[in-house]
Amino acid sequence: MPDLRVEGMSVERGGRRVLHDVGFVVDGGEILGVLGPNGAGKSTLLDAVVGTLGASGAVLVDDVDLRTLSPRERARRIAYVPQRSELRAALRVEEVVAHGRYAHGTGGSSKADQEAVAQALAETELETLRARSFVALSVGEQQRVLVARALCTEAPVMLLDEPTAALDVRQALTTFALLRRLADAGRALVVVLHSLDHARRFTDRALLLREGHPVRLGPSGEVVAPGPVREVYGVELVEGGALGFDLPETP
Amino acid sequence: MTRAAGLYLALAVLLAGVCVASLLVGRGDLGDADLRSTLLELRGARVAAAFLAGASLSVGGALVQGLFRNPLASPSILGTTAGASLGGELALLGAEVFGGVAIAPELLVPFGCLIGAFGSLAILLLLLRRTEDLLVLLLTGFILNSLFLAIGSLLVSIAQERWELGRAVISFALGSLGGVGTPQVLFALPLVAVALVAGWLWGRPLDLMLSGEREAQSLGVEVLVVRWWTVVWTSVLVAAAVSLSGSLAFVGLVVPHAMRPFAGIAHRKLIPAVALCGGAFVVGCDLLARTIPSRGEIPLGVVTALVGAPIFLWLLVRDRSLGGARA
Repeated sequence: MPDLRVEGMSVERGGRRVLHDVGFVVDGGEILGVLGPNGAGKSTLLDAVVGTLGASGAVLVDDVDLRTLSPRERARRIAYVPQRSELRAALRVEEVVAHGRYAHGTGGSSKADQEAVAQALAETELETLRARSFVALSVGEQQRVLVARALCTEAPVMLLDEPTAALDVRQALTTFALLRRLADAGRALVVVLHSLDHARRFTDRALLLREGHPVRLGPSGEVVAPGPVREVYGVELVEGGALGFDLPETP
Repeated sequence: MTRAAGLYLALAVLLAGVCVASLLVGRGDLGDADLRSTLLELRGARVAAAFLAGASLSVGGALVQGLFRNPLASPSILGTTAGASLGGELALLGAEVFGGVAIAPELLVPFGCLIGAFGSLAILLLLLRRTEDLLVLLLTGFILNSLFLAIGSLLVSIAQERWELGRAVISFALGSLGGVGTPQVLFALPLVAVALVAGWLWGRPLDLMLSGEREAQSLGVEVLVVRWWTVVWTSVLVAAAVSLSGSLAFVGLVVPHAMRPFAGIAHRKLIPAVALCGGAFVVGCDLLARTIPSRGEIPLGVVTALVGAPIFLWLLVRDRSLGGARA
């Protein structure tokens, strides 16, 4: 199983350190939730790990240091799914998904590319939308397209920035079901989440950040617990106090 | 036949049609056996120059619109168009003031354009080494454009002191294929050919950059390298176009916009369509410039603006009424 190892990750912005010596390991088949209040450095951590933001520290996938790799080689090992895409052009869904094949340098129209696109569309249940314009889709559908694009890179590690932030309850549950399937297929997933409830229900382990510092790292049930939540968020956790939802059983 | 192949074929037929019309129509009688070959040679060079200028400006437009993720961007946004124009005007003035030069007179303006465009490009690239901010590139292009246009206007006013020189500078500034011949076409052809192929090759990473530079980077695109080369090849295209025809308004803006509904957004499909359509557009506009009854020839840049502006307005209104998002 592939793993992601982040060591001593620190980030400075405008002369101020915004991320302090963060480290963690995620094994294949596992979902790590990254939690923390606004401004804790969750998205900054993701940017630093994927390499779109200058940072000190090391990121290793299967013991290979990503800093030693070309951008394409890096993209074949670690994929990133933003919260919302900046894409405003009327590209078709299958064209957007095929962008994930750029990392393989095969031009996007080879047999391997077409198979990878078809498989990614199938995994994300987007076959019926493949010819639709990306910008005409709902937020939830766009989110799935971005996941499909990430799948097309065939990277064993996937980073997702608040994938359920703008989704309704059904879309959010569908997204988490998809993420679990991806993890079960052997991928290592790191997911930034705002909802502590989602983190406890749908992630295996969690990393809690406060003002760029790692506060807790461990099983989600132990991180999303009264003590750490009070320490970081300044609120009392009420067990069983939230409404619970599930997707209906499929016959 | 694929949809793209059908489109390219239709555009090739359109291009062939305007080229043939442009060869057959104009001042001078093709029925005169003594004049026929000379007329066809002159018109042939002019048609080739119009095609190269149109294709260059249109593909340059598609490249910068992809780079800036803005359908309202035109190649002049980089300042190299104004730089090339200024170089051409300086060459005209320099030849008049300093007399004989080492290069052939007919290639004086093209060389000036090339030097002007590459001087402007050098300033841009120096800046690109110091910043990663795309907005700075945009603003620098805007400033260079304004500066070079202002200096160009100054040169026009200086040139007015000599009647013939003033006419030549104004004619060049307004865009014209009047004095173009085979040497100028052969001068520009390799530049256009190389830059068109290079622009097409960079099309795929430009597609990814439509999702924003951060997303593109995460997908394996070397964003700064793509940006650098897109600026370089756009500048080469612009330099070649201006060296042939002077400044032609609206071509780089309107042609990519017009082609996207048919060719799609992906640059590798869009660029061949844009090259064919842009070439046909300028050949057609030049035919109009030569044949509309007037005391002299109407400046080509005026015709491209008169035709291009209403088309662009129509495309804009149609896009808005459809609520379509286009890049």
